[in-house]
Amino acid sequence: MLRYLLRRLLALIPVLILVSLISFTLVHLTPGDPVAQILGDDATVDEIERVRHDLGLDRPVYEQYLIWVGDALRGDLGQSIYVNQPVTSMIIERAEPTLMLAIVALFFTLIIGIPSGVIAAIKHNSYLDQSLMLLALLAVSMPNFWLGLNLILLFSVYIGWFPTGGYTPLGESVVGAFKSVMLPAIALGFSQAALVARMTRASMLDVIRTDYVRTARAKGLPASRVYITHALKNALLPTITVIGLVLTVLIGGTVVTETVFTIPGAGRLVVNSVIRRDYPVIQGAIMMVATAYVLINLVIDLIYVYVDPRIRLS
Amino acid sequence: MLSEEHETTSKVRLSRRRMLQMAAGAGALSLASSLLAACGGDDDDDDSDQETSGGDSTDAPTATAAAEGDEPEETAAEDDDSEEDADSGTEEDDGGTDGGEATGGDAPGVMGGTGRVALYSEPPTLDSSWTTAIVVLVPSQHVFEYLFAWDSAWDIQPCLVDSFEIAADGLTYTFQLREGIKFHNGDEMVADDIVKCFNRWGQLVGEGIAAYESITDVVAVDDYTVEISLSKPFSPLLAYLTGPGGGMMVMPGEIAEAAGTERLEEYVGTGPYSFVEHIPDRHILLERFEDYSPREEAPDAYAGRRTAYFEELEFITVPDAAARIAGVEAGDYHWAEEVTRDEHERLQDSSDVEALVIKPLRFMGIIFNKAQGPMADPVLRQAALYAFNHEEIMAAAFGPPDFWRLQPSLMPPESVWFTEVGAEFYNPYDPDRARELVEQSAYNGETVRWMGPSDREDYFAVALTGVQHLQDVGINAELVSMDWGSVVERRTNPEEYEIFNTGFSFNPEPTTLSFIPANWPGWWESEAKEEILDRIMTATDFDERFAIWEEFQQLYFEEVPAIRVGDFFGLSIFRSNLKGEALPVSSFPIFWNVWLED
Repeated sequence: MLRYLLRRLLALIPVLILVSLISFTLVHLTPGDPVAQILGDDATVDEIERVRHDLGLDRPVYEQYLIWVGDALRGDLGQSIYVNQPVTSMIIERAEPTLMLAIVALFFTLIIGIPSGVIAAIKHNSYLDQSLMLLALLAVSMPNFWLGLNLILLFSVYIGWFPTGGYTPLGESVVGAFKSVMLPAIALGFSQAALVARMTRASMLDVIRTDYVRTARAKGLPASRVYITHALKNALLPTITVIGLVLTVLIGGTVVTETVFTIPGAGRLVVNSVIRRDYPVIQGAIMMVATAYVLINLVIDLIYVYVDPRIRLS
Repeated sequence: MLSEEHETTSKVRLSRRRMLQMAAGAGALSLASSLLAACGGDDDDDDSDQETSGGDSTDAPTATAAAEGDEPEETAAEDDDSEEDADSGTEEDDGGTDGGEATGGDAPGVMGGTGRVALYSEPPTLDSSWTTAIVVLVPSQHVFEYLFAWDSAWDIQPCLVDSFEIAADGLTYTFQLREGIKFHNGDEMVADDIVKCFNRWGQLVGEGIAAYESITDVVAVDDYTVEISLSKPFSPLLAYLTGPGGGMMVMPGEIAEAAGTERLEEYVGTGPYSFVEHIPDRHILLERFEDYSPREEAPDAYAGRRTAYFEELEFITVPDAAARIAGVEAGDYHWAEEVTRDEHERLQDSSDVEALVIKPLRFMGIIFNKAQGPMADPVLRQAALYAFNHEEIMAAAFGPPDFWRLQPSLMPPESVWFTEVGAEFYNPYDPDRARELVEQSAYNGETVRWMGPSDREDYFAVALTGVQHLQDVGINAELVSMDWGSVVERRTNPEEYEIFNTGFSFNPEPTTLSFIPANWPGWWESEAKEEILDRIMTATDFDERFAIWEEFQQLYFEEVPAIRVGDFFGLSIFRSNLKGEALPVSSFPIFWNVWLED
């Protein structure tokens, strides 16, 4: 187990090197200049050249990469070109809203997705099943930002229960923090729940047709016990994979939702940095997201072992 | 409702005579007189080296009062206008515009609360000397002040300066600073700080660098006196020092010195609000500066008394326009800028929200690459001048005519520099003439690349329409679509393009127009231009400067370095309970002298 863990963690290194190399190259190949953007419309060519030089942007790309790697190895991801703040602290600041949003959205995903999947499977081919699946289809097809804007209109502008946007840190107000992520979490959770529901339904349908479920029924176990304890546990395996994917999506940033709700999360950081050509931040954020992907996948693999003892780590 | 009032405010133009008097103060280097006294009357003009007061000291009458006294018939109408504006903007402040009454402490508004302002884009810093980005100015001007400030008629008024004199030969400026001004770090502002700010300004800011071609020395005579020596007269000096939008930011000397040409690491100014924190994409938080010492004159746009009603000011970046509108409608923000123009009608009907047309916001300019390529040929640029149908371009980009206008002058009608010289060459749309000129030029059908920012819908529409117009007259124009970030990078490289278009913001001093310097993208190198600029920089009298500016405008129409298509306006919205005459000020909104009613 420990050796397995260690091996997986070591595998992170080549992944990160590759990711950093590819992202650095891509980012620098893209036309656009951070300096021309920060200096504004009236800046003269001389002013732009001076600041480019100050920031070391006039050096060859490979040199810039090597400098970046050297600093990164010492734990320094550099300074943001745009706002002149350390990239590490910017990413840490983004972690809280992103994690809060991800966790609350995941919560909605699970409490909506799994029960509806199970119910749809049990009531297979009934009107309930069909309407749940229709709803799921709608939820998957509906653009997040559209749902988000409508939620803002209804719950913020008309009813006034939640703020229209922004994020209140947990340290300032726990209630405020939950309130600020509630609407975006619903908007996100709704579509992700649809995915989970469809997955749960499909695998539940497979499982409840197996022999051991029939046996459990035959020996007179109550339906709830058969479905929840016997069937669901086995049906969850593919669902867990989907949940892992959902979580990586949420952590990696849900750009549009974050923009609509003005949440200063990781997704907005990445997209804004791309627009501003803020190379160090793009680079740092991509590294963070890549690490998160690898780690979440690792955790999902570990959960597999727990849920299905037939799986062996090797 | 307020939008109409704002239009009247911005239309309040200086009477020509008053402007001349003002210019006599600013530029009349043979006379040593402060602007304010110059506004006051011609009498002072004859006394050289007379010390004049900025109106702050208690024993001297304030300038506006003097103006009223000396020139009853001339200024009365002006002041009536501004009083009306003030009154309609606020419900309680009716003592506002009487310059003579320094109402100092008894503030008319409600103290307290947090003012929340939704910005459309993230300010990269609060150092508006380091960047020319407009979004920086909005929060920055609450923290940093300038030696001089613009009033509602775009006149120069003293801010941190108490009084000043200009020597008869125009080669020495002496600034008497206000005493007892505290920086946010608790230190008192002294002349030495100003000297160091000058040094930074002269190395860093375009206007400063230009001024330092004439400035030879800036010294602190004593704690409150700064003396500037020049090698030759430089008439826009005071305008260049005036903020916001350009100007010299005042900060503690050691901070200015440490920063040099780099961007500021700490934000310590003298403004009514002090800096608390900047968390990118979340907010910039400012708090009321309790030790702030306001001027005593009545508030007038950026000039005069500043009262920080809000306990805290929060600037929040809300990039999504729909979210900015919803936020103001829900009461989460009190002010939002850059609101979608299509929403104007709907928002006008709302009782909770006021809509404000910012007029003028910017002008749309088409810039030619004059360094190389086909557009380097002035005849082909002349052809382009006849090829564009300005009305079509503006309508395509900015929609209903409520949000744009066509006018021939480089400086807008709101400015004293407005002139119709060369108007016959403005929008002379004549495709046949354009085709003739294309024939006459050296053009051989080379591709003319026009960079259009696809992520800026309105700017892109200008490129799209313009390319069509050029093709119609036989110029092989091609729209090169890219994001805004790429446009601003590539426009600094003459090999990348022939044409691009962008918006230019309004600055009261005409010589600061962005496309004038030869090192701005487009590279307008012209001996005639430099010769005119030389003269306008050293000319002393406003009339004389104005005449030279008219020559400049004529030259612009002849050489066609760029084409000013038309002015476009912006739309801002705010909560109805946000009050204060400072509200409808211009494209750099201010939130001192503004409060929230219960």
